Amino acid sequence: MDISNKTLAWLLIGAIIVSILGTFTALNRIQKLGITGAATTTQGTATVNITTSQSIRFAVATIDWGTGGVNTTAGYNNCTLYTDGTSNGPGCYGFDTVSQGLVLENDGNQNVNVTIVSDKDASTFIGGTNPTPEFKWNFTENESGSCLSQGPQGWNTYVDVSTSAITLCNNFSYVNDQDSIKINLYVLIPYTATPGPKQATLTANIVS
Amino acid sequence: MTNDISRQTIVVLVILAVLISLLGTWTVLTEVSRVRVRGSNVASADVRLTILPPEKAQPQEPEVVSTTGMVAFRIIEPPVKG
Repeated sequence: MDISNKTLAWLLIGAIIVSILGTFTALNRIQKLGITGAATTTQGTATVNITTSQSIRFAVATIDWGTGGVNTTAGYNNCTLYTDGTSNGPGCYGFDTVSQGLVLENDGNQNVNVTIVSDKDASTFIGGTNPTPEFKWNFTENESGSCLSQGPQGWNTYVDVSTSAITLCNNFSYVNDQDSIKINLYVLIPYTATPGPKQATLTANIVS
Repeated sequence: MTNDISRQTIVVLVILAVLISLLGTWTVLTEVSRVRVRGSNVASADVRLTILPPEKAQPQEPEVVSTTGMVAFRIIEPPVKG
């Protein structure tokens, strides 16, 4: 069936109209994202509606000790790694020294309650049996006054990483220069650990 | 078809449709890039390392060592028979 040029023309006009309408609809929806503002009088007064926002992020989101092993040749049966600036243990070979722990930041505009959880514990992250592997964390205020009510475990002392969510901080401050918590990590790798790449993910959640 | 629209008009409409579509796409993409993304209730961090087999922790390269020594002896005349 041949389509006449007139029909083609109408179809093209329809396509143009749909394209224009689609563009305006998309722009209209985009305008509703983020901060909105509107001038309300002719005297230069502007009213800005700032939506309350609860938000956290990891300002330092990766710990990577690189590649290495246990120096059994020198008689060691384990390797210990840190993120708090402590040198790697003498039983380590090849791993990088990490002197910066994870940093969790409140980048919203409200105090929030936060939990933290790991997807792996020592046995599933490192593995091995003799000696027992270890995977621990400790929490400190990266900026003084950041955590107004500390959780029950892990503050200023290393405790085993948990695969069940634990309270990190109730009333995690959003105030600038008081909105940052540091999470340092420690691992003990036994010489019996299975070789290969290892990765664990720590997740912080805002809870009501 | 005496009342039909010319091919030239069709070509113009096609070009117009393409241009308007491109302009609309560019406009939307420009606006999207200006949007400040709202924060998140969840944050994740990764911890990584790669473990080598322990037998490869130290390379077993042979070490060249040099040393010196001395061998000394004295030749004496054989005893005279007689």
